[in-house]
Amino acid sequence: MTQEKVSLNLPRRWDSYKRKSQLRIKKIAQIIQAFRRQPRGVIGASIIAVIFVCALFSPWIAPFDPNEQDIANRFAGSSPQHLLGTDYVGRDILSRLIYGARVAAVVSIGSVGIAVLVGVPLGAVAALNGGAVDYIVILIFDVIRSFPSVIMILVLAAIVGPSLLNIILILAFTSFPAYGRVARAQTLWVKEEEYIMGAKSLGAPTGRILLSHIIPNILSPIIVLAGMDLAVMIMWESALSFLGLGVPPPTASWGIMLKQGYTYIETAPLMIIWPGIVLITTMLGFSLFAEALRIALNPRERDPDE
Amino acid sequence: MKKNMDRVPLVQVQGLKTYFYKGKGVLSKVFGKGLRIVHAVDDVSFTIEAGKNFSLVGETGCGKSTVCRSILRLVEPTDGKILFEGQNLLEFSKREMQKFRCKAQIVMQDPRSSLNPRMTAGEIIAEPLRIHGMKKYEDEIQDEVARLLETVRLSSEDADKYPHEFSGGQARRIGIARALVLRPQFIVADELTSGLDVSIAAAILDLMQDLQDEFKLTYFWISHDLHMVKYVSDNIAIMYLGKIVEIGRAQDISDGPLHPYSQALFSAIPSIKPGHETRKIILEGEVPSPIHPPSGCPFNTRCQRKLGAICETDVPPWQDAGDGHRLSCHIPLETLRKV
Amino acid sequence: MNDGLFRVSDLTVEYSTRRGIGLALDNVSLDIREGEVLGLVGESGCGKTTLGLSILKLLPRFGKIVQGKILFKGRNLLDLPERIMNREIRGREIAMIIQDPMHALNPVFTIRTQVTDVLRFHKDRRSDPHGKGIQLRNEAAKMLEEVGIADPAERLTDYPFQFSGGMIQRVMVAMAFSCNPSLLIADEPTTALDVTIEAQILELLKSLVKRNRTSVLYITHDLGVISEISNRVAVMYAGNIVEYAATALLFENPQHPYTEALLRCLPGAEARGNRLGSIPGRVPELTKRPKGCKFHPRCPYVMEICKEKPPMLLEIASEHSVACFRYEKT
Repeated sequence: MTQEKVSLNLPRRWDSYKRKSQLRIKKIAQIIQAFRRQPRGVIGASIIAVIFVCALFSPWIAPFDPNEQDIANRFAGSSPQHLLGTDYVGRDILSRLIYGARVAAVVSIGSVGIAVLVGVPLGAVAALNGGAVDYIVILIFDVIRSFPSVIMILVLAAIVGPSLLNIILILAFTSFPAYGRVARAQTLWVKEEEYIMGAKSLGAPTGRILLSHIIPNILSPIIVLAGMDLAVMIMWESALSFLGLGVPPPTASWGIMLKQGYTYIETAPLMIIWPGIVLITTMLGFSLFAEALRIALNPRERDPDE
Repeated sequence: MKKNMDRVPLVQVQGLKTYFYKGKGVLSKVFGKGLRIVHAVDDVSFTIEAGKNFSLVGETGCGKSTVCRSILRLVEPTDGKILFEGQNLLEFSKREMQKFRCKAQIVMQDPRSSLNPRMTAGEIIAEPLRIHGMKKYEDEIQDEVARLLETVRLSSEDADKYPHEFSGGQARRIGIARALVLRPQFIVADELTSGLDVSIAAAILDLMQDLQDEFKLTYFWISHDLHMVKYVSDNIAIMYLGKIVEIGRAQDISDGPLHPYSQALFSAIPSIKPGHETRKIILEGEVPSPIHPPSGCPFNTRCQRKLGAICETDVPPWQDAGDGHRLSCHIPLETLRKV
Repeated sequence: MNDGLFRVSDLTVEYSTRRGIGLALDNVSLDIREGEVLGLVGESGCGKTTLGLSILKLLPRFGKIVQGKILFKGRNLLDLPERIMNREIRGREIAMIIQDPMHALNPVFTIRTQVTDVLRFHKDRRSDPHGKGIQLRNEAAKMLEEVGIADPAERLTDYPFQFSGGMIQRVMVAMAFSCNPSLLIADEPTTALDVTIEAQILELLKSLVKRNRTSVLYITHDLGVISEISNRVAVMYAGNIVEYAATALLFENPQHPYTEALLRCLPGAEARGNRLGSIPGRVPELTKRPKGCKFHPRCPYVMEICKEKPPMLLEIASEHSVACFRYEKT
């Protein structure tokens, strides 16, 4: 027995690794399958896939350079060349939308990502420790949340000035308390569940309990929140750009397109209609995706009996 | 040294007290009712011999679940001594506790909530092995999981299923399998058969008996099902409001319970033989709150044989009825024996 | 037709689930006489709760009554429109007590509101403006007192969470008896309660039943309770009634193999150390029930004919019927 421990026994270790990964892959495949079975999952995932493909491969997909002006051809309607028409300086709307997806993707994932990575651990730790730590963390959350988000975002944006990174940070700052709150509430509930005590009775150390037992069970509402938030962040970016506080022109962003389209709404309504449609579809896509993901991750809801 | 260990009882609980404190925060003290102490377990002592079945009986709120959790230190006791193989659990270091965990396991009451809903049965059973690093290679772990599933009469294909896919009886078997993984000597069974159909409960009891014979286990049963307790136990202790009111050999207690509460409890069980209308002792009122337990004897507010004022003022003494049969009551034994 | 208070004939109930269609109840027939307590006993999945719900036509969405008659005082309940069921039957002529006391009452209304609600609906006091409120309150307090709740007037202002399980069941009993029903359906009312509280509730039920001459359909899986409280017993398995007898006869002389096996499984039946020996196999799933007698895969006396046809309930002695081919004389 001790001999086994000392020697490396590579083939056996490799075999062990293989089996472990096999099991993990099986689990992931189950989740993906549960996803595919839901219509909302398929639709949501498709929409998001399109957005990300556009964002990643914009230079190759977009027919035109988004900043290429063609004044002679401005306000053009749909044509085989410019599928969605041109804007007030003759730039191709379709290409600008495609490049705009980059901004949308970066802002949404960046801000929500930071908010989750900061808020969730804070909330969970606060719930587990209780006492003074809990008090202070909640205080921080509540102070931030007590400011009306519109005002806080606008003021901060005005102070630090418009730039992509700034928007991401500001949005993350205003939204992390919500995740913290949810994570804390969920942790408070989960830690009282009997299986936590079961894990303790088996001798599981706190770290393991946190990672394997608590975190997977608190993620569900957080995923839903994040999904909807992704869409909301894109809206925020649009709003800020609309007000001139967002991404600085001439970068193509959907928000800027909305603003510019608004100015010329009577002359060329297509300038505002197309970005509007894209925004709505994106929000729908993210919401559907988040909901489908939540269901796919929950073994109980994946396969309802009735 | 080993010979000495054999003669020491496996588990000895002495003066166990577990209190919960409610309302410790600042706001509670100012606006609320202030500090309230829940006397969940109030000075409980008993001994369990290796290889035997000991049962703790009582109704909701009597503290029996807290006792079983306290002796495994899943809940920290407030006072008292818990001796496992002669050593005081409460003085164990972290490492010693880890070793103890391998020797003493618990099967918890509600199979649904005691199993992580996001882990498969196989993962749940394999977890103890991973925690204690007992098997290094994956195939060994999977083999062990399969073996344990067979031991509890489930199929090895069930390893990939999630807890909600199992029936109540099957989920309980998974809990039993998980408790067996580390090859413990001592298993606490918290309400193992409550909520189960008669035939399924019977199958589980048979399984437990087979396991006990095969692995030389010691069981600590917690239950409110007196039929099951009578069938299964070597020794019984009856609890009321955090205290043990009667303790002794199963035979003695079920044939002739002496404490008024035990008498009421045993008379209340619906009997299978119709026509044998035993005179039921119907207790008045409800169990008092453990935050404000009655002074003197905890049972004095509902006792059908209350002596008088002494029951309210003085804690009842322990009386010895022979052969390890003891009870805590002011009424003299001869009077109690006359039902 | 008018022989007796209540009769179920050939009742068949279908459940449509994702995995297929199954019969929760398969040609079930029974009757309840005036003033008698009929125990309905069986394990989970046998259909006993479905039977209770069917009587009041409270089946869930996926359930459908496909065949049968439920005759109550000469009327077929299955023919009655919803309006009449609500006005006359539910809560009035036929009352129901359900299993889980913790979820039986609405948590955001006081006890007073919920108890007087019942009174108001059934005793036509809706048209009453103020003034009668006090009368209703006093009646509610009296009802609580009758079921043994201390300080009834003060307890009325409490919310359900302030009551213990036993007390809530008493309130349910009070509400059930408030309109003096002819039939009470009690679906596992004491399963979730402690033994001493269960004894209290059973005593309460027995006294009220005796006083009002109410008939009771007592549904449970606890054979001990059945033996205490019922006059006759029907044993159910997988949607069928397999044995139907006076209580004493059933326990002393069980005839159906399932009943025999069930009685053997009880811990009280064997001495310590002997195995209980449960029933081999498992209760079949709703959608995968075997042809013929549903118990045949697990029956020690199985014969060829058991696999082909389902047995009918036959009266083999006075007050004792069994559905088993062992007793069928061709």
